[in-house]
Amino acid sequence: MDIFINKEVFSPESFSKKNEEILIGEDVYKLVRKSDHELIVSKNGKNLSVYYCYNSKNSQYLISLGGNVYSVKLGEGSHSELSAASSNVIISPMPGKIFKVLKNIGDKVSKGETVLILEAMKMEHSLKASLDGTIKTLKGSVGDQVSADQLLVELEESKT
Amino acid sequence: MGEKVKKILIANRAEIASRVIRTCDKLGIETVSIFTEVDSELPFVKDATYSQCLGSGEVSETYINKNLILEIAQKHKVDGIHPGYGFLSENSEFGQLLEKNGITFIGPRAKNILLMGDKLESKKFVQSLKLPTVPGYNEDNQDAEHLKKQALKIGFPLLIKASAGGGGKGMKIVEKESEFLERLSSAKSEALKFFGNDRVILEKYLINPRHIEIQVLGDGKGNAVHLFERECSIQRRYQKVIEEAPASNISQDLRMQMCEMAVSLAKGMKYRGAGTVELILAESGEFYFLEMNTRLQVEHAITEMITGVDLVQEQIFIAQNNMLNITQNEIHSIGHAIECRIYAEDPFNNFLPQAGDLEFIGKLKDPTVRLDTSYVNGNTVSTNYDPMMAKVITHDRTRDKNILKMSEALIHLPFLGVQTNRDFLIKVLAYPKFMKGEYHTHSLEAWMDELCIKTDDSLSDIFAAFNFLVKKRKKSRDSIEDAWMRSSGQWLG
Repeated sequence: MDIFINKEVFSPESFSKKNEEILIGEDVYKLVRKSDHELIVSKNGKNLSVYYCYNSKNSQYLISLGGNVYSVKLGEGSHSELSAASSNVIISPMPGKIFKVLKNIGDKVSKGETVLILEAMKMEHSLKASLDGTIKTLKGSVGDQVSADQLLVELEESKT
Repeated sequence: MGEKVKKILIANRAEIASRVIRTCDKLGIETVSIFTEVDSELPFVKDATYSQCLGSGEVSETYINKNLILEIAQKHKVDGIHPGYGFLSENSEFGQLLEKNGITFIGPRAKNILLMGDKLESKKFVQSLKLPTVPGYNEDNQDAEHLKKQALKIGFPLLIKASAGGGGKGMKIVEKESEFLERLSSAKSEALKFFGNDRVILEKYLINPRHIEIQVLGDGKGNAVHLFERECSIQRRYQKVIEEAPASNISQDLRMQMCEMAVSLAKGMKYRGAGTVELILAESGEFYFLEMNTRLQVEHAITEMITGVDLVQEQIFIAQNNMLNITQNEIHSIGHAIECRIYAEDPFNNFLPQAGDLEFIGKLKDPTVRLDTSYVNGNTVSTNYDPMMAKVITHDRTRDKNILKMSEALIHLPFLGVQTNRDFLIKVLAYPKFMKGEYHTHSLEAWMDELCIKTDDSLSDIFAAFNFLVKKRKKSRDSIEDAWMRSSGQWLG
């Protein structure tokens, strides 16, 4: 079991929990107050203001600290969603409408080649193959509405 | 005032609709909001005295459907329509249609809109008033030697542009005279290839230009005042990101020259209402007319902060009385104002537009911070319309103090639930060249690589915060959290 911060495993070199405190390395963290969307955490006696929300759809916390938002979730390092998102699939990066389909099932594509064009907010976004291969599945045709993170294309990697 | 106009329809949506409603409320004017189904939960719908659904469909069938909007206006017996920005705000036919039906269009006259809507005509008009436009040549004589003569008049560096062109094709920068003929022939052949026409225009090329704009108000009879400048050079792909007033590093003398130029133009064209004269300011201190926006601008709020003038109130007054309610010597620029635009976009992924459920906007810890937003917590941000979600506006005595105030305000406005450019904005504010006020319209692109590095120096803090969150959620049904709690050691307390 790992904690993913911004989609990467983070594990401190040493940490322990005791008496409502968390020790990470030399730093002592204490929970001062928790309210709706806000957490006050004391770090070595100094209060940090942390904002958060929990998205039950993807079991992910969004945590904002000092002007940066981090996504945090639990998972198994080996099969994180990150690895699924890479290489042999094309996933829609945002909601939109399929504007153009440039390839068909069975077509060979090379890395960087555009397979689909998505239209969102009056802009066109090219969705490209991230490896050399053949189109195995292609879900969606011109005019279809797609949601964010929807699987659109599966590729079969060319054997070299 | 407000004795004639008692009810206003706002032909717009989101933050600007809410913004106009605020002033109407202050003046005791009733309001009508129009909205599409996807927008039905947004605050501007409930903020208004009355609201009417436009159904769903393309913008052409809804927010810019002139006849439908007129019909609703008549049904609600409104006296005036405020168009906001975008949509119908610079549509001369809309204003004419309303006036014909006895409804006041809170904006300029059709002839003002038409004149400034035409690039070539507006430039000619500005020249006729002996005001500066970017030096150039745009005539039919295309003889190479003639063009060269014109180029020498304009001076180097200069740009050769395909007159039918766009997108950089057929565009050449010429650094010095000796390169001219060779660049001209390649520009002409590219222009012919891409546009089927080898006519070119010449234009002075400005190095490190700044985008400075002047807010004006006119009464439509030849009287006009300015409300100083706004610096809008922090842009990404022609999209403004951060604006400030006053502009940094310009002399009082230059500032007044620019303001007076804008007033001359507004007077010369008998401009009515609020408008903005956009200028391009060269490193040399020379400035030129770029275009005029015949409407309220997104960034009007920073002018309101430094002058204390409510621009929407002035617009309403002018539209019904055809006179100004303010004189030039009543308008003073005090302190410094910044606006940061919050966009639903991912700066770490090519600024792709984002959508999602907005869980938590944040807290306004400092009551002087102005937040003009389209949303409240719990709203859904869709990709149907403009990705701008909010504007954060701050004002303070000095620029340095104000930058700090803005950063602090943004830290407490995380806009959780939708990926936004908030973190990116905070990085821009802290960028040394921004802090010194040393930037121009190409600067943001040049800083981009440094600005788009994700910060990871607080990972331990986040890790600790996460553990407290999971602990406090303990009744969680998610077994994964229980598993984490067990595997990471028991809490003894």
